[in-house]
Amino acid sequence: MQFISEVRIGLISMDKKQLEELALDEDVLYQIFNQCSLRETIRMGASSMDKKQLEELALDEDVMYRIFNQCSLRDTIRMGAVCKSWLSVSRWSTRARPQLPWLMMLPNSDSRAEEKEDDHPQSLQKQEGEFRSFFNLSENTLYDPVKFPELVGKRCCVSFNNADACGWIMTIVNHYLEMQLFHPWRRIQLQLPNYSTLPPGNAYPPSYFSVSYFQHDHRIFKAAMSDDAAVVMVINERSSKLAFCRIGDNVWTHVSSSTREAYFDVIYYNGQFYAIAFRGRLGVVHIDTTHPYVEILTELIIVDRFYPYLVADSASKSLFIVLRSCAENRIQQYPHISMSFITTSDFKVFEIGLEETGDYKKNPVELESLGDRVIFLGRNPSMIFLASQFRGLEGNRIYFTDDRMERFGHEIPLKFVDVGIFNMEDKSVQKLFLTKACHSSSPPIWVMPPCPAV
Amino acid sequence: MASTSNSTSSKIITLRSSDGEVFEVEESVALESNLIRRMMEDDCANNIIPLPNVTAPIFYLVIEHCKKHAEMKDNKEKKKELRSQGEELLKSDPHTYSNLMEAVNYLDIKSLMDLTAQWLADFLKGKSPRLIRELLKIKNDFTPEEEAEILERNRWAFD
Repeated sequence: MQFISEVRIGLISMDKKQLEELALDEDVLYQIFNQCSLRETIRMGASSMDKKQLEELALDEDVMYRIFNQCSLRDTIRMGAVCKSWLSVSRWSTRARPQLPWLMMLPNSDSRAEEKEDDHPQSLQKQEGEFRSFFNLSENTLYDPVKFPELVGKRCCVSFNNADACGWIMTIVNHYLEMQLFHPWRRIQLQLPNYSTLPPGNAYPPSYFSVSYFQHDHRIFKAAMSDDAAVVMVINERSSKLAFCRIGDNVWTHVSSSTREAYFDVIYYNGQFYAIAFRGRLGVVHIDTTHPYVEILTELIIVDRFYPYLVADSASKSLFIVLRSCAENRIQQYPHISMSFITTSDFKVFEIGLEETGDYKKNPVELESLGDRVIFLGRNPSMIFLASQFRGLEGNRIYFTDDRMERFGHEIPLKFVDVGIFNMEDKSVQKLFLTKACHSSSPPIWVMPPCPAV
Repeated sequence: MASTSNSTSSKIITLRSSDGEVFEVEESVALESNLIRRMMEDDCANNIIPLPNVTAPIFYLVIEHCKKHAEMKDNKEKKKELRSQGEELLKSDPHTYSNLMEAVNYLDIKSLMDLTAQWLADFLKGKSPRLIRELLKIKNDFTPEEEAEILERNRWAFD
């Protein structure tokens, strides 16, 4: 034993070549290694080993799976590009942690924001930079701002989340009224027809907000995209009317409506576009005809001072109408300037079930509870998730983000941005404070996080 | 020469590696392994426990790590040291890392599994697929088209 101990001290002072020349018997080496610390063992292992031993990392897929589960989503996705076996593990691992939507917003890295706020609180909308921040709700993590040179000067107005449309974001350049689609994860852009070809004028301005329109009323209020990502339907705020285009079109095609309805929301579900008008009247949009039109399906819901969202529940095959009520607030922040902002106060949910014939029922029924469901709404086609499929998520909640603030045409301090969680059970609102975001005139939007390679 | 007479003789478990080496390990250390625990519950305790999937050098590494891990519990320095050792091992000899990891998995040692998995997770952090292939000697078995498609799908993750 004494001898081996001495040999060990001799060995660890040797370099690689000397060790190789020694060519010790394996048993002897093993005895020596037993006397060594791990660090020494590893070093000697590395140095005494010949090329054949220096082989690749080769792990079972279930072991790799455990490792990937300890990696961030971004690392895990990237590892999928290493080799085929890693790709399958990467998919397996990313699928095992389904993601809730992320909140995309302008990061608070820009120091100009502070100055501007002091000097000209109601100055024109700040030029959007190239950085965007993402808040991951599932992991309660705010990621470092991501650089998107493609987004400089563009406002992200709507995000999409269904099938092939998933991940796309609609952008608009205020000045030129140029509209595009951008996919932040795939890094591609597509041109849309110019805003100027959308329906003009205030056909039927939503009347219950005393809104002072600034010069920037070129806003897309809502939009939906077909599952094959080939058709986009929008509601522009100026007209509250529907229009659509096929990717590659040069102009928007207007959808005529027999009534003077103001549309509030549009979704794509089950191969069709559905739109909802102010008083909760649901219609299906027929676009494959020479004169595209809306066929009204349901009766009015008379609920004052609520505005509607449409959401499809693929499990029950029902459509839900979610009604949101907001209070408009005004504060005197500066001597001569008052500032408007809204605060969500209540939600109501109606279900439009199916008749035996497969048609939608004419009369929506109010729901007391969403059960396990959680709805995400804002500048996106609303989404339903089941709380039981996500760790830490509670059911019967509505996650909302501000989709009205652009109307006011000025930047809104973060504490007044209307983002939060509504509890259907006790009708309470829990605000989400976005301290790391930037004061902005455009709202944070829910976007679909990156998903693994197909 | 060390006297063991007054220590409460902790039970010694005898284990045999796949290459026939016999190890004597303190019960407290051996029980870290859920596999050995299960085998002992099944009443193999008085015999030599065979470990057909683990070679002697790797088993040695495992035991060494179990001990270190026990020491490490409230010791930040040690923790750091173990971390850098993991990186060293991955850089110098990914194959041995694989064997260690597989052995830990087979022996079902939870604490060590988390530790060794974290080594690789840390190692992979922020590295490009190409660099990883190079460092860990992994063969790229994608066609250029397949690889391009993967990058295209998630350019965000590769910037």
